[in-house]
Amino acid sequence: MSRRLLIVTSLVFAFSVSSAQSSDWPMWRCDHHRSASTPEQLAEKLYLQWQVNFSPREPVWDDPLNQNLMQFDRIFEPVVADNKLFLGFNDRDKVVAFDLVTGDELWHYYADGPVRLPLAYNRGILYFTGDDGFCYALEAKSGTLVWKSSLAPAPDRLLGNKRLISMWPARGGIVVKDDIIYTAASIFPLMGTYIYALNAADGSAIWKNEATGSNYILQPHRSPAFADVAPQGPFAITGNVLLVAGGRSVPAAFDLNTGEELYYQLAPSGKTGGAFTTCNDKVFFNHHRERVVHMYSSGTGDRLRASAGEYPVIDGDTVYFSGKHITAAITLPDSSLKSLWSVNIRATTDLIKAGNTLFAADSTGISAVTLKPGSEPELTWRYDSDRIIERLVAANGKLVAVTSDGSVMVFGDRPAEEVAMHDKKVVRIKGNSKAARKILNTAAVSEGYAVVFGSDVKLLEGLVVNSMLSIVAYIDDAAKINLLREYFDERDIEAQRLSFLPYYPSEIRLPKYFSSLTVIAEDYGYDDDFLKMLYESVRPYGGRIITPGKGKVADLFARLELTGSRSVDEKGLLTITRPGALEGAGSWTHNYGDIENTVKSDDRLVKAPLGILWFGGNSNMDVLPRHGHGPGEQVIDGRLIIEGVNSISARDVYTGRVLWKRESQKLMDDSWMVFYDDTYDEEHPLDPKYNQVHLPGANARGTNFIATGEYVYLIEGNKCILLDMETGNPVREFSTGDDDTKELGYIGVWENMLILGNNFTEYTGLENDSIRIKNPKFTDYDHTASHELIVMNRFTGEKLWSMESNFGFIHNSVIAGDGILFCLDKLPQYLETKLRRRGEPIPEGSRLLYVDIATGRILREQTEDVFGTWLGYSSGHKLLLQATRPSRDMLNGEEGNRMIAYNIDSGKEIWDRAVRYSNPPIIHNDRIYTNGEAFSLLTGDQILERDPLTGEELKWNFKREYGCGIVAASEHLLTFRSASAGFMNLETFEGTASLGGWKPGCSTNLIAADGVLNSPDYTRTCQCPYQNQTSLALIHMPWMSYWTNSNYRWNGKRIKQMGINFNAPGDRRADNDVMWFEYPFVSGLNPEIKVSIDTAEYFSIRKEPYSVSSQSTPWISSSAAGGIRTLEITLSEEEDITDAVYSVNLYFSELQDKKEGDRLCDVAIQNRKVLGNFDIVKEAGACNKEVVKSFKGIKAGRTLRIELTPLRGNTLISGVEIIEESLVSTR
Amino acid sequence: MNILFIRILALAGLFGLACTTKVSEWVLLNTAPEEYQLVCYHTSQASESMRQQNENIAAELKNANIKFRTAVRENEKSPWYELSYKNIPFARFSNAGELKGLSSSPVREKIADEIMAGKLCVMVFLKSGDEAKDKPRLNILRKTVATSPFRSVITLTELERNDTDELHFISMLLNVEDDLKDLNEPMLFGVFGRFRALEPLAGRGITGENIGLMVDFLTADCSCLIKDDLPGASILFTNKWENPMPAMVNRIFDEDPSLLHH
Repeated sequence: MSRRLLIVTSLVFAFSVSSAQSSDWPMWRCDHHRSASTPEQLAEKLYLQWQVNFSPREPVWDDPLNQNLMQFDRIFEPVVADNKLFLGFNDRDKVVAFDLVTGDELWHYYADGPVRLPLAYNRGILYFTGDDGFCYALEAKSGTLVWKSSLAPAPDRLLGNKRLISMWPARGGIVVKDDIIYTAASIFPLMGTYIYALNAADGSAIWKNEATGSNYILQPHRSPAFADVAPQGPFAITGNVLLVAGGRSVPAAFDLNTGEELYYQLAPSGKTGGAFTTCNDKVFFNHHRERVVHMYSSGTGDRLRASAGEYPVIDGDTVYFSGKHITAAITLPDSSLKSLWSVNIRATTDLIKAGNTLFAADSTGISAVTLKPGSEPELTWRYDSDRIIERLVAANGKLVAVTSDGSVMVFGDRPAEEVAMHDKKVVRIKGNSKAARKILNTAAVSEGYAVVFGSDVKLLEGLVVNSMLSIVAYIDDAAKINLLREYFDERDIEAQRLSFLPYYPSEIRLPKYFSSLTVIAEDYGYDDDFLKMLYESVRPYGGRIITPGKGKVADLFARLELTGSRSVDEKGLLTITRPGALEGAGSWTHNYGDIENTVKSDDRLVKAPLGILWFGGNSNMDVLPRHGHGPGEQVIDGRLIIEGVNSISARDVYTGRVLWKRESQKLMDDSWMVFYDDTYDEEHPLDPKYNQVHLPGANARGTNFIATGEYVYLIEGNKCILLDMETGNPVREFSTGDDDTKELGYIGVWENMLILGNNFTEYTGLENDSIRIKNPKFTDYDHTASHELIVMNRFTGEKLWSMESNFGFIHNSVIAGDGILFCLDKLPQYLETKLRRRGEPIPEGSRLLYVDIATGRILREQTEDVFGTWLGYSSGHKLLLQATRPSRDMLNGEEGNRMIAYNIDSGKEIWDRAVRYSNPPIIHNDRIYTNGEAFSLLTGDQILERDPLTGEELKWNFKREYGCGIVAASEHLLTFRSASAGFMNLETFEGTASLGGWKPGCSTNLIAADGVLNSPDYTRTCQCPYQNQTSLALIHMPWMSYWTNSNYRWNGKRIKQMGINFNAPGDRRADNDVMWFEYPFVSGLNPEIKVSIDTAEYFSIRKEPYSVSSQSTPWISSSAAGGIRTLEITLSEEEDITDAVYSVNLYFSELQDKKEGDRLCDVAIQNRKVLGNFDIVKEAGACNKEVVKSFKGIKAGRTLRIELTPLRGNTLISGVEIIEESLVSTR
Repeated sequence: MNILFIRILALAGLFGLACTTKVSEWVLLNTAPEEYQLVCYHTSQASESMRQQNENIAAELKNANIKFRTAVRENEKSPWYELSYKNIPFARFSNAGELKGLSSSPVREKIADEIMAGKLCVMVFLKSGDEAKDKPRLNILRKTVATSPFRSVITLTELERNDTDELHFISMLLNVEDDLKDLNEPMLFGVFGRFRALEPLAGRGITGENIGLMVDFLTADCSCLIKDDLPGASILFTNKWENPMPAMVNRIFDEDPSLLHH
């Protein structure tokens, strides 16, 4: 070490060793900086005092990358204060306090959901958040609840990470400073996010930011969507900035005093981020990969230094990096980092600083390194361990060590006479309840999720022991809940198997469709609405409610009309079954929805607005790499079938639960160079390299499996394996009977028939000059067509007929409908185009075939106008559509430039259009949708819409931001990736909406089927820091909000109707057809509507629409502009404009904490006073409640002018709606 | 159906595209050229003169759509250079002298000037050297362009196959498709945007109809497909794509809206 560095070290030492008194370690990594540095000096030699052993923690997320990016609950994270050690349990939903000296358990407290984030202590109070959406404050000495505050806006629950938790789980890891605690709820921006500063004494809100969730910002790939930070992980405070952990991303910064968002460098940060953040007041370090951190400026969030080191300890300006060596550095005034020294001591799992000592942990034990002024750091103590120590804490004279397998060890300054081992004593559970067996036998349900209303211990034991159900029991006696929790905790039953929640009927809002078995064992005094809600929460396709056959509950059910239910009263039990599919639900099979290639599900239930039904609970490790574009998922009868590299599995669409999984080496061999190639690196999922290059995959090849109600038909080499849909077990195997069959190509199912392609066509053999190809992956036409088609009975395997091709039956064109098999037998489009460019004739033999699917008889063979690679069929209109299949990641030459529609009855061409398009053409009733455009299926004409402002004709279109994967349709929506997940609402013309907060697949994975928008995580190998990387499902939630980018630009003609939505995140169309634009214009294309305002002391407010009471437009009244004095809207830029008569509706809601009389104003429209002494609170009767004031007969020509004159306080207005009265009268 | 009729019908469909900027203009304004790679292979005992030479090469290529790097291979007898496009090598040079004019040449300069001046495209007619093949196709090209309503915004350039000043350019054109080098036919490349060359018409494929389709493509409204999957290949050229003149083709459409694709 150089002399200069020794001096610096000495100075650092002098500042850092300021105290040797006992200190607490009151929050994760000690303090609000998350510094992992305490002034307390521990003894030079330390001795194990006691140890407590639990099971290893199961982290919240399911795959290696997420587990690395969000490590907050992978091990115990102790907090120590006042000679107590506190632990949170994610598997028992509790917090436990131990005597730091003896290890005796002092108290424990059960929450209503998993406790996943680290705890925090301040002035005798212990704070924590739970997945139940609450923030808890407990008296640290007794565990008595001091206060409990809901961070979630409502008590609604969903399935999240396999648990019944709040729709807005509180995963903002509490940080405390100056008696204020900072935390948050909700991890999905589309559901709204709620970030808080709470008074530590009573939990009252000092500020609450619910405005950012829907911010229109650049996502990774620098493409915008309505999705800001998703709080998840321990928060930190740097200077006057609150760093809100963004789960998988870099943190977002908020003003500590006001809660205003300062920056969120989601897109600029690139492929980095994670929940770990540590800081001083100038810079912060945030997770990159493994334990490596980048260094950022606290002021701007700009990256100052990439890969600065491994998880560091921060001690003022000095930074000690962990790793294979401990390295010290100092942050200089210019925020650069200067290395000081390095010592060859391993700190590969944790590093902390206590006084003048660094404690380092690795897989061999703990090392203490003493920093002495003017000399080399010195190893002064060592504890060897054969267990991996992952966390160290130093406080109250003790060193606490946490192991990866669930133990906590405490070291003190004197040898213990006997090391106290606190192993949990497990009481054996009994399971001999006859009642439980009878229920399980009657229900014939043994897996999935269950709800029980009843507190009978024997019954609950019996249900747990005799099934694999994950049970939530509602208890109507508060005193009993704790006893039951204790009872089952002592018997080692994890909360995931059995958890208890209080029965407060008004606060029970169960997710739909999730319960396979609901047992109403006790009568808590239910009403009709509650029982209807319970029935809605039962899983379709056989979910059951079971209750005693006699009694009030049975009587109530007897008179309830429960759609589609079936009741059986037998052996003293009433069983209400929810059989079959949901009414209005559709399926999605084959690669494009059905054998007709419509690219559409008939599902009518999935529509806007949408909210999350469940998330998590399965892993993307069972899915093909995203850029290989493997076959999309298929959904039928409540099951989602998805393919992995060497597996195929089934998941429950209503819970995400994995139902079965079949592994197959043969499948892996078949998929090689088709769905993945040598760029795929299975061994290193955390390597941020570009893992798996783009391939055409199933875009060109088509699927290799078909899901049906009975079987999954799966191609393995030259065999078709039939997997039982219930179990995934192979039950039959079909072959072609042809000894020359090397591989099966095409696969499809129509009614009772299975269509197989016998061997792939080798197109390269058709070219005499054996074309050398510039990118083999996108010119491999040899996996796009089958040489022969074979049709067989799909239940018996009996071969019905076969037909050989002239060239090849192109897979994307083999479809069936109304008893006819349609197909194209031709060259790939690229080769035909190339021949044309070179003046060469296209070989004879190309044909479009109509074949009787039952007999193989050719009904029609067309040789004229045979082009493209795609056929789609509308059975409703008896129309066949011939086209190509243009999209990203498709073979060269698949340009979309022509479509032909044929009437299959007459065989006549209905229309032939040269249109440029991308996306496989979606046949949606009488329309064709492509990527951004729409055409009439019946005429080929462009679909027009009414200009939402002027009423003139306008082409129907939408703008899609970045994203590979195709657009898919259902009855009400087009779904696609547009930066985040996105959709177009087909019910109205309003633009592209976001479903912000996770990354949808690069391979298409937003499929509406079975009443659910299914989004299985198809992003395996993706390193982009989208807020969440998980499977999830959404359903229609009428009360949810969403925002669109209308991509609209006004043409200057007279505006007939319009809404201006002050400070809203984006656009929306109201039920009365009025298009509302946010103002100021912040999302997407500026509509160039001329709005001018004069203001004084302007301010803006935005809340989540859920927070505002309104009959139908909370999304208007949940935001507002304050300080507007005059507002002028240009209604027309035309010459010689005459006055029109408008109705003007002004929307107000008091969004600040005001009382009646606090805010008064006069309002004038077109210089005429229309409101005097207007008081929002008085009119509404409350804050956060909408008031709409309507004024008719307002004449306006070129402009409309509104004046707001404050009489007391400042002005506040949420929205202005103008509707020409001629339109009103015609409605 | 007659292909010309289809073309007329096409216009109706094209009207509906979400983006009304023409393909040629959109690509020029928005699409960065794809990069070439040049690698100098040498032993670890690289001479000072070679290092200096490579520094000069790097400086010369600094503003072009190319990445230059060196790679050590111990068994190389002498340094050599390999040029790749989309990671596939297609040209090899035994010394730095052979790299002269790699990123620029007179014809490429002229083509870029025309594009930057607002032209729709430059049609590069690459002769086969066989007069009997070249002449009739050149006549068809001239006649087709002369009768096109877009003639004023299309520039024709003829290029001899053995033009020594343009060897690199010709090599890149013949790499647009991998079997072009062996094709002893005249070829017509549509060049547009930031030096994007479309897959060529060749030999008897140089017809009025096919030339018309090429013009149709360039004058069509830009679609998402174009943004997703741009046909052709980028040609190596020194960056000079700042501040292009407005696209002249828009003036033609303004004057004669009947030409719009609807």
